[in-house]
Amino acid sequence: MNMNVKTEFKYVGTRPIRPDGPDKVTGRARYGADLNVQGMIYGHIVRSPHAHAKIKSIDFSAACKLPGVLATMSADDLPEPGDRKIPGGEVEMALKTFSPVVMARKKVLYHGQAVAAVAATSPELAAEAARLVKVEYEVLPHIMDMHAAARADAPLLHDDVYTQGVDPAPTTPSNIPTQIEISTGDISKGFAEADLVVERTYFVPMCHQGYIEPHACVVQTDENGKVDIWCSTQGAFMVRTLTAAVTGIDIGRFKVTASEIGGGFGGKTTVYLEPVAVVLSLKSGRPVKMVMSRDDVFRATGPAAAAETRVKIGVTRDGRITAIETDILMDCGAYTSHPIMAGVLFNSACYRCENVRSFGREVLTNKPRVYAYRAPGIPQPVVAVECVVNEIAERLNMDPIDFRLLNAVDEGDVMAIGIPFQAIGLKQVLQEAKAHPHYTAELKAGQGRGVAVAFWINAGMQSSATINVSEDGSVNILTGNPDIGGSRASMALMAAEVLGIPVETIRPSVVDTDSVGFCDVTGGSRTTLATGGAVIKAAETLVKELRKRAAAIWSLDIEEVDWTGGMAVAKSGTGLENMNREDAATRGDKTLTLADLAARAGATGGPLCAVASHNAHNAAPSFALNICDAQVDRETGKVDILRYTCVQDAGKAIHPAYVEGQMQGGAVQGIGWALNEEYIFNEQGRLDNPGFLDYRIPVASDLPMIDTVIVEVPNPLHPYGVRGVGEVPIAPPMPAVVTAVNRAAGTRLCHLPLSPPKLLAAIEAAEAGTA
Amino acid sequence: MARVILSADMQRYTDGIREITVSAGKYRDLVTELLQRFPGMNEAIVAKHALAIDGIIIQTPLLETFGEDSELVFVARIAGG
Amino acid sequence: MQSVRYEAPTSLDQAARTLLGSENAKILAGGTDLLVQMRLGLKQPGLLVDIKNIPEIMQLTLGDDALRVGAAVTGALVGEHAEARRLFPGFVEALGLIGSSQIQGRCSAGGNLCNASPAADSVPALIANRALCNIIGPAGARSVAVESFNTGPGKNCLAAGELLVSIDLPLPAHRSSDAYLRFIPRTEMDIAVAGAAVALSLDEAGICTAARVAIGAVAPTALLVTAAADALIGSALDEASLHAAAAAASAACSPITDKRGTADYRRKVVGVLVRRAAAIAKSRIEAQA
Ligand SMILES: Cc1cc2nc3c(=O)[nH]c(=O)nc-3n(C[C@H](O)[C@H](O)[C@H](O)COP(=O)(O)OP(=O)(O)OC[C@H]3O[C@@H](n4cnc5c(N)ncnc54)[C@H](O)[C@@H]3O)c2cc1C
Repeated sequence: MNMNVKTEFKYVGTRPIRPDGPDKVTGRARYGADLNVQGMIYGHIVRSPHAHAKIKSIDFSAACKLPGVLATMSADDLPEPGDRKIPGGEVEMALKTFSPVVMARKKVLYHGQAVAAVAATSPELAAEAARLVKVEYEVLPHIMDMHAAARADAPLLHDDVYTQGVDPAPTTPSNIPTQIEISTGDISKGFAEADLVVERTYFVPMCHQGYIEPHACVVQTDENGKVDIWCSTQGAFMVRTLTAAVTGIDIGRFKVTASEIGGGFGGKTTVYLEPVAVVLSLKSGRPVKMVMSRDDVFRATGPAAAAETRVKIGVTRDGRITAIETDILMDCGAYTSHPIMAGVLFNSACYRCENVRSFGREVLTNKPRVYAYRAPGIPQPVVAVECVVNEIAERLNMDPIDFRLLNAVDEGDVMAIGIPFQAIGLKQVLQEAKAHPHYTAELKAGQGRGVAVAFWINAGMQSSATINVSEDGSVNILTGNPDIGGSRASMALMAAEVLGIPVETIRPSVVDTDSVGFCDVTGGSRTTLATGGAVIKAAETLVKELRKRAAAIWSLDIEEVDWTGGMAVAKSGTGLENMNREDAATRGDKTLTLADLAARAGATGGPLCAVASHNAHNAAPSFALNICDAQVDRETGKVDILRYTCVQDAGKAIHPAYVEGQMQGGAVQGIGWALNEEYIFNEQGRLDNPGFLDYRIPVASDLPMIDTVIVEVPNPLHPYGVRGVGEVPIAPPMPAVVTAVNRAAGTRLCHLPLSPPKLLAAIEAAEAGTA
Repeated sequence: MARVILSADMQRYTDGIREITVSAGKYRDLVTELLQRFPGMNEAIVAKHALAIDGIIIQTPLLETFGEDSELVFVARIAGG
Repeated sequence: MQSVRYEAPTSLDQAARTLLGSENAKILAGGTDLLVQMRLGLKQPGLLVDIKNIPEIMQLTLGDDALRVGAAVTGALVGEHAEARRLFPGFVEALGLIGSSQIQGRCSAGGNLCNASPAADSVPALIANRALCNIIGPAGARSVAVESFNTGPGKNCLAAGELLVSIDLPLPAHRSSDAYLRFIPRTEMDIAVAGAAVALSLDEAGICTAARVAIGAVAPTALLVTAAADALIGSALDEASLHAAAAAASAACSPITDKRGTADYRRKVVGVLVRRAAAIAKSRIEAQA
């Protein structure tokens, strides 16, 4: 399967300014809430005031009396989900696990869940009308603690959830939708061979992706049944699929346009408002706009799962890992979504180990349904594995990077699930980190350093791309992947590389679902690899067409025409690589530039365009390492992050600045999750910190400059060697930070976040010798 | 004969057998062979999985082929963010 | 649905009349508390009385006895006033901690005080500096010591129709200075978990001759802690007296446990802040040469 991977580039690997940059910094860029259309009205959602209750009745009569209220809706306006399965991009989803998140049906399972909606001529009026909707509830006991929810006698969230993965299949329902175990080798033999065994349990709280732009959409419908959606999303085609499924309207009636997006991180891989706005628009005959408040975003969109992970690792005296056992309990909120899978399968994928046992259970609680957050399911168990690896290295008196180098997986090693690795960059990442000046910089008293590594699988999936050439030879690239991290710039660079034309002459656009072939979401670290792959393929098709046209003009055979330096050259000998027009002229070769051919397109067969589609089967894993220096104020428990370095294998960084951006962003999010971010629920099961004041993501002044080192071990399966880069950066920060903080403070706090009150208590306990 | 490693979920229908060899050279024949060999298993269970062929994970392997000495691994599909 | 009227009087007189004529009026200074509260649905006034066009409310003047800070003078303006920074570095830094550059262009010490949040940053610094609040209302003008101005969370001593015109900070004696510290888990854009302001005077030998200690976010209102000041007065601000002041502050507070911190944590941290703020104020005096 190994193909020729290109290693010499003219455009790829440079850092042009992103085409969407000026619009974004001047405020011209249009995000989800920025579209306004003639006759537009405003939707408002009625949300549950209870964490668990039966919906007995919904009475819209008072709301409807308000002048200006034009439509109402509830789950009665949507088809029963039944057992329908919807083919999601990567995994199939049961409709009943997300339709009630859009609009609750019979029961509410978390505070803030959507119960009904109204639309009115102004946002204020819609809010007022929503207050007038009378919902009668029968309150049920809510269950917030995942251990309590996992008990056999716990109150049930659903009466039709039977644990999958248990034999014989259970006959009574429970709050545990999934149990999974993988193993290889002989775990007890592995521990018997160990000279040192360390076992610890780490807790990671539920947290939110914290994207700055709240969900927003505008929906317009017409009398012919057309449904146009404009929204902030990671995937316009996904919105089409899911909105069609939730509303029961045929896919063919939808056109979805993705707005510019202010962050998603996995949180915008589903729909919340769109199906509601569709129903309200159909009922009122008016375009409907809906915008979430920050409070709505925190309470009623999908955070990342909380998890408790017990890890036990055995090593020989000389530092070889003999056994790794993990046991994960993951809090998935009110509906199952299977984030446990990656956590169980890949939590120790960085290490060569013959004896592995990994077990996991998902638990349902009265909290919002979790959704993806960069490398979903991995950061939570990786904290446990990596912190224990650091502890083991310390107890063996080994350098933590040397310890990892000794045990790191490499090409040919086999993962616990049986898959062998192709060429991977973990060892190179470790070596780069070890050589980095940060790693050997001196620490002062009261400071600590932590390192951690992580693995992520990365996705491929389906993408399409279209390339159109204008009469003057300028080029338009159309793809269907919302640009979150600079992908338009990357698409242009890859096309420039194939076509041999300056990147500035290429205009990359993200277009609506009517204007390009299907594309899976911008997620799973797949866009540069898969959509970029489609762009490369389309550009190659275009080059072939251009050679054909030139050959026709010259009355030559296509094989006698080459494409180089952005032009067709009639072959007259060797040495064509990287030739320019002057070279060709000197040699007396005939040439036709892209502009020449574009001008004569009509005469040579019509407009120049190329289309490509594919299902990318060439994804390859990424590894990342972080080094963190922290300082702790022993009297207040406050942590300062002093220095931070990320090292990551990108395969090939198409646009290095945006790879660095992914690395830095992941580090910042992970630092926040480690130190302060957490969902705090009160006695009533209500989120107590649904805003950025008390849900503390780091602010710029909390952070040092995050240093980055890009390692490039090409993905042998991709024409340019690309691996995904967007997700793995979230996994190493938590263990790197936790290790650094515990070293600085002389504590062993395993319960995240390491917020000042908790850390101060741990410091005092350590000083008193009670810890 | 290609070597096949079954997922944890599939092993529940194989009496715990994790590894087998098959004579199939195409995904479709592989599925037929599995269902014959393990009557407890059904197509839906197989279809829930991605197939890794010699280390390359393929989410939708319907039309895939592989060689006599290929290593095949059935793996649960993973969602990214 | 409720609509909101807006008035912008240009004199104190006019403001008083507008206020008296309306049931549900709210005074608007920078609006960085009020507008946020309105958006959250916590306050629904029928009339907003914008006081930023009233000269007395916008003055920032250094008199013979005091620095007069008009009630709606912004944090940014105070921060740019060189004499204010020299005389009351602790007050200026407390006011400067509010929000971000954007908020600083709007927020005021008057609004910070009148909003009566127990965690308001500038209030402990005003208390430590013996500030006086100049109030005008239907019954005429009166002045109130700042430590008596607020009566509970969200409650102040203003009667119906009254408004705060300005705050006077009496000029400090020779060899005096102040400092304010707050604890937040982040570095900015946060609400104090605990805060402490200390104003000191030293004699030529470095002995503390006068002290005021005030703490915030650890009781229903910011507190003046005389016991903490007493621990400092007469000492050379050595470790023992600093620790005694810290202990007095911890003992004086009555914090709550909430999502921002436990009562126990706040009690400990407020002592640490008092000690550190006193040390900073001392070093500021020593740097005066
Ligand atoms: C992003 C952000 C960050 C913030 N950070 C901090 C912080 O770090 N520390 C902190 O302490 N606060 C903070 N705040 C709160 C707020 O900015 C401050 O309390 C500020 O000082 C309020 O001043 P203002 O002029 O905006 O008051 P306004 O909002 O205009 O008024 C506040 C209240 O006082 C009343 N009022 C105002 N002036 C008078 C008057 N002259 N007479 C009678 N009543 C009056 C108003 O009716 C209102 O009830 C923050 C707010 C925001 C939005």
